[in-house]
Amino acid sequence: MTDYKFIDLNYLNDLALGSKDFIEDMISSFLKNTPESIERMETVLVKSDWEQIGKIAHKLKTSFTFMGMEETVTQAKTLQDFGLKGSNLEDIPGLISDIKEAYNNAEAELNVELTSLKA
Amino acid sequence: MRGKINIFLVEDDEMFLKSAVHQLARNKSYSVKTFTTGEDALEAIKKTKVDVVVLDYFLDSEVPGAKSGIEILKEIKAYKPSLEVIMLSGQEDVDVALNSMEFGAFDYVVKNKSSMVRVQNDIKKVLQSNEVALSHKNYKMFTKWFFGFLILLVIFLVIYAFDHSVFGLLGDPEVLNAGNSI
Repeated sequence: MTDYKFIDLNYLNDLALGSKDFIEDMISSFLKNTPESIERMETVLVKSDWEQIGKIAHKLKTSFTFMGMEETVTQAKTLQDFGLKGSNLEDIPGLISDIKEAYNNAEAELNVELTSLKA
Repeated sequence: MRGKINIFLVEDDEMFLKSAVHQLARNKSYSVKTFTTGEDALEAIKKTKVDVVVLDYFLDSEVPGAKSGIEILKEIKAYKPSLEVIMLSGQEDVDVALNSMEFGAFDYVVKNKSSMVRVQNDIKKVLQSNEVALSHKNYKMFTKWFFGFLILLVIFLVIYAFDHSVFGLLGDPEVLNAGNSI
């Protein structure tokens, strides 16, 4: 298995029990849904809808767990807590940017993995 | 032999849903139906047989305005109190857990790397308790019918014995009638 800098697919591989289709499907879902969720967070940020940001971050947390992005999971959890509680509002835009950057870094590696799975 | 175990999985997180289905599908006796809203699951519960429901606590992040997991839990329990519901949440929140248990959830499982192991254990426990409840119901029904039959048998025997002992004391009516005609 390839060593990556931003993702760790050990957990996903454990869950897959040898099913390449499952890994491919999960990575494809991640690549399709995560940018949409980040975009939605940016949209609701403009409206200061903190609760909705918390809910979206809550879901992103699970997605990042599957891709072994532990640091981003922690950031998403913090964002979830801040959003749902309506606290530390000044930190929310920065956390969304960090999550977006982490996704962009992971995206390239996940595309490499997808290509190798399809080969 | 009983048929497939019908499991309803209600979750609006596509990736978690896929992962959960992949893991549950390893058990060939499970038939897993998935729903992304609680409303759709409720409709299906009213129309089909279901053995256990696995229900996410947050169901309104994708569809704003959709009913939350706890609202759906209450409605399921109001419609069918015996149907067990395992609540899932990505949040380690005591209030969420207490809320779920207060409204009748079988268990509250925090989503993490081992959550599906716990869900599968919970499903086994639910099925075992369903089996025990069914055996108990069957046993109660059997004893009810058995004692009913026993009482009827005793009544019949009493009547039979009474009937024969009375006629035994009076003698055979035909013989008595014959004697009178002479």
